[in-house]
Amino acid sequence: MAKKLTKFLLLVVCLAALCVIPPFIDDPTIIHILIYTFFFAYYASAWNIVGSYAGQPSLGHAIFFGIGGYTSTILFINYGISPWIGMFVGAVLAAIAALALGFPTFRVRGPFFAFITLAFTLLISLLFVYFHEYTGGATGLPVPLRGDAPHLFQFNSKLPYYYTILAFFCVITFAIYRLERSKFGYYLRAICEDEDAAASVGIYVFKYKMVAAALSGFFTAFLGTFYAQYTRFIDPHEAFGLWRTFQPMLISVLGGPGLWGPLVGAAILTPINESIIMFFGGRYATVGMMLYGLIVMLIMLFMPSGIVGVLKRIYTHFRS
Amino acid sequence: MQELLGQIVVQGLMVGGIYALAAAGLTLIAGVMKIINIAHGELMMLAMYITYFLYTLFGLDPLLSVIVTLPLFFAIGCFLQRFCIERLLTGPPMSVIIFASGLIFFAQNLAATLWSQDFRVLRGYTTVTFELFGLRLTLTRLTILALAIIVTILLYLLLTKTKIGYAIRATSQNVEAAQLMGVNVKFIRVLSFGLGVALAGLAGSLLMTIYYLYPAVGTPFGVVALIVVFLGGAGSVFGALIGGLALGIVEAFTGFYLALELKDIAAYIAFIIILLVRPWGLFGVKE
Repeated sequence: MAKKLTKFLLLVVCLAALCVIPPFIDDPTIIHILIYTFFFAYYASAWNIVGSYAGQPSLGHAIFFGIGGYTSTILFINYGISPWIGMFVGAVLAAIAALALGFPTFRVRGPFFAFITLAFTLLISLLFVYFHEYTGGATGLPVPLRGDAPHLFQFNSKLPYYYTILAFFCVITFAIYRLERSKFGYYLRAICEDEDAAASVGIYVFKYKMVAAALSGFFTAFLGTFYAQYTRFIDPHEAFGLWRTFQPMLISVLGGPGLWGPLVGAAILTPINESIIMFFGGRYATVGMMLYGLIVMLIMLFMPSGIVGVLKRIYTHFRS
Repeated sequence: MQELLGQIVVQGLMVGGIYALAAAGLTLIAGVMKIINIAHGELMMLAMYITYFLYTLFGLDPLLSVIVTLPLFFAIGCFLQRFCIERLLTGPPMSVIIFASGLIFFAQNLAATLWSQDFRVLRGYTTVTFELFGLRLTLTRLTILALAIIVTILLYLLLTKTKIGYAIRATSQNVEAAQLMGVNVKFIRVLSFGLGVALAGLAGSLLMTIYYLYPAVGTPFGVVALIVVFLGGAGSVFGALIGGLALGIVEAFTGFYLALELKDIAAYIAFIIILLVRPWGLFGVKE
């Protein structure tokens, strides 16, 4: 009981620090790094519902990201609907897309599931380029600037964006915390361990995979809208590109399984990447990504349980 | 009209040759180890850079640069298999894919860091275009098509007529049984992966003669090779040739009749259908 209380207090202190300290930081670059850290952590968390808990290695999450970003932006440009509302429209559409995508693809297992979802991502990306009257084609869509307009999800400083993504992250972390302890969460983990065994004890595998996909797609779409509003731009490369496709899986693998894995993974990648850009300039922006690829390879070879797994091992080593 | 149709088919065949070459190495690896090296296209990209620099710095003809890229990439492949992939084979089935995706980002950004994002072509390397029966043909593309066919036949002979080939096929059919027959399975895996990557090097060198170069150039070819492997069946060398040529022709037709942006759409849809119906391919051996 006491252990639970200290854990809870620690969490409250961390959250309070994350809320109170940033306004005192003058350097916008640091706020930018914080924003991207929570951005990637959120993306990997949303992916985890399908990818880690249900054990379905999806390479289709860029589709939901893109649907979120494009829906809110198209609604804003053509009908003047605030992205705050468009964000929810996008999330519902992404959930529907996740169900439509899950229906054929969940019949396929393991690596083949990864390939078939990748094929769908390529296909959707192609369609977004082709229907350029609506999507702006390969050049993408700029989000019209309205100055400092909080009701339109546009701010002049980085700080409000930081609080938005922090709130997003808190919501999804709480949702996954609840999921971990729910019956549904146990069903998913049973499916992840062994689909046939799960089915034989009476778990309706297909149904729970579909629910997980819808949830995961729903959450991922919010991030698409956030991305479009923060960078004021969305194009097929940013929405459906190779990096966007593999990103959540690689962050999740790097961090390790569980509730905090994504945050650990993101907290390592983002500062490395951004500080390299800061110190060496944009010319060497690719060095960070290169290191990241190398780290993923090394992690797979030497510590498949991810950084969280290693930290846990060190912790138990010193406890005993 | 007939000439136009013929021209589209020829165009498709000439593009299909490079697809078949790209897929040949991948299908060999997929057949022996039941894994897909999704970084195959990135290895091609690295071979393209080497070919490019051999040409611009030393004036070596891109077709001759295979004497460098073939052994070099064979060594890279052996190293990758011996020290990386071998360790991952016992792990969960996704680990090879995750490892290879790390390799994709490593290789692409390595190229971008060392050689920038600029587009490059072989300056001053001209190709002969001639007409035959009213069809416009390009000499380099025809060479690639011919080489694709030759490589396929050589691979087929290697697999069916030599002792090493027997061992490779035995390993792909049943690892334990092959081991019991005295096959050094680990060595066969190193050899097959080395061969597969060497073929990626060959494909990259040849691709440089007809295509432009930039750090992400490998991705589309890697995807195509992946589709061709599933189309032709993992481990089937003739499947890869036929699949590659068929994909080239289909692309040429969709690009011409639908829209240039949609030229890949048929390939993607075919890929999805194959994965749904028969994951290990149309010609492939059943699991």
